[in-house]
Amino acid sequence: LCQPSIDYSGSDTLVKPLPSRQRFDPRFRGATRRIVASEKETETESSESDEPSAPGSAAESAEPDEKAYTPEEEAEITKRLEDLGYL
Amino acid sequence: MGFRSALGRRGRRVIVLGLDGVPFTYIQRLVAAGELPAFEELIGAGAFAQMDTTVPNVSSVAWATFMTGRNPGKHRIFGFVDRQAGTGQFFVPNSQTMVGSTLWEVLSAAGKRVFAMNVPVTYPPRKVNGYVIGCFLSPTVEKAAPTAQIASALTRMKYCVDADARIAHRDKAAFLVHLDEVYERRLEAMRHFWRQERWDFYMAHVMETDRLHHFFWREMEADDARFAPAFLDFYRRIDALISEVMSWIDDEITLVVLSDHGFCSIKQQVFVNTWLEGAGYLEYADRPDAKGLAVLAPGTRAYSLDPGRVFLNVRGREPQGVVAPGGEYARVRQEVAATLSDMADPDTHEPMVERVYLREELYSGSYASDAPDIVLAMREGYDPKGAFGRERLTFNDDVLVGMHTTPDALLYVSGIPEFDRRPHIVDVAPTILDLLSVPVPTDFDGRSLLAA
Repeated sequence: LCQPSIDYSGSDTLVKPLPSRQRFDPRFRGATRRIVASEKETETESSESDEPSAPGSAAESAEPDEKAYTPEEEAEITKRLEDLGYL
Repeated sequence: MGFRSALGRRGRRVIVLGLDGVPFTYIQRLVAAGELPAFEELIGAGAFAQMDTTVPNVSSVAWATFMTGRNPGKHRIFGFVDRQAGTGQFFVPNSQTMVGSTLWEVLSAAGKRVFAMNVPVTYPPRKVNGYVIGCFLSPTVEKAAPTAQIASALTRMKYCVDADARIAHRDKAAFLVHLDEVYERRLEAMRHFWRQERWDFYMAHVMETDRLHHFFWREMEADDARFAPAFLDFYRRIDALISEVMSWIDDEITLVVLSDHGFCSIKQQVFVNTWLEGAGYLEYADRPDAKGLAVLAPGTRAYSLDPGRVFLNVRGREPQGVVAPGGEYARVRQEVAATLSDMADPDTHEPMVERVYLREELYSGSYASDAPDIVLAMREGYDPKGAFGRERLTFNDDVLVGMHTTPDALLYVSGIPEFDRRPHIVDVAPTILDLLSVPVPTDFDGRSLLAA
């Protein structure tokens, strides 16, 4: 599942402090509100967009080059789904 | 003039964050408790609502419905496993078997540059104007990648397609540590690919929340001294991700956050085939090595696959079908639906089924004939399973403790005051197309949630 696999041994600390870069940054408080305000201000400036042509169902999937799974892979995926309680 | 007038500007871009299995009501509860400051910030600046999802409420069906904007009768994904026509062998539905253009394929056709990572049922990655990185159904990281260069980058980041649930079955504490590591690697990949290009559409999907819930939801609800704090800590990390994504936003970008279902604690796992056997509709063949539908004896008239999908053993459709199409099919289906609605918890005698759906009540389209004949919507806490050969009707343990619920998915869209109606997950793709001023394909079932 992971490449390379994870060595998760040696830690029994379940609650780790957040790295500082992941904490909520107060600088962003109000940021999205400012975006909304900005949109309001530019409403009168907005012009007609260039409408792309209607895609309809033109973007059908590409033909697959090969089968999604080998029998071994499908068995492995099925086992994963069982472990997750999905089967 | 409303917010919509700004949405038609050229150059409008969208970021979508998928949070698998995150319930609307749980986010509400944590925000009210002051635990999720970034979510609180978001909610104050956009529309945030409880969203309905598919029946069954399983991720493969829900995310296929999200990405195609169509009901399962059109996209042909009805569960994590299905049976091959003719042979009755089981297979895992994937992007090759999913029918219809996806949101990112429609955007690609409109000339938009798109990126999507880890959205369920995107393996194998289909071609787009940009990149799709496959989901947890990918056999390996390399096969999840659309190019050798991306495979190399993912490997360098030690990316994981999914957490290894086998660890949870051995040691739940170890699984939490593992889950955290998988999540960190997912975030690193998200950051890496966000920086690669000025995407018109960028979507990243977090699967770890669903895994956390399956193995720890009951402990969270019970305020377990060891695991409940860790559960909350994981949500603080999700909130930190929201904060980080907010830092990516400029005034051209709309942020969409959604989940695909809610969660609750499991009271009982329910083996529907055991009920059908007891009611005389299912018999097992005396073939220990049999696979797929070959485990069933020819006299079987109905069987179930996960979760709560019930099929009649129809002559000409199933390999050993005995129920004749037409009048006999209709009669047997009504009988089976009636008996299933009577399923009760053997311990408490509480009814276990909320509603029994007939196929035509849920699905329409070219592939509706592939759909289950009956679908069970269970009462909260009763998790329907499709396993064969179980002796007991119900089972409960301390490993898998959380199950999906239907009415408690969430949807958030920044920059609009509200949705024009209660959202359904099928409505999200047309809403995003509306945000990007791209016409919605005529065969979509969903409709934009933006006020006209």
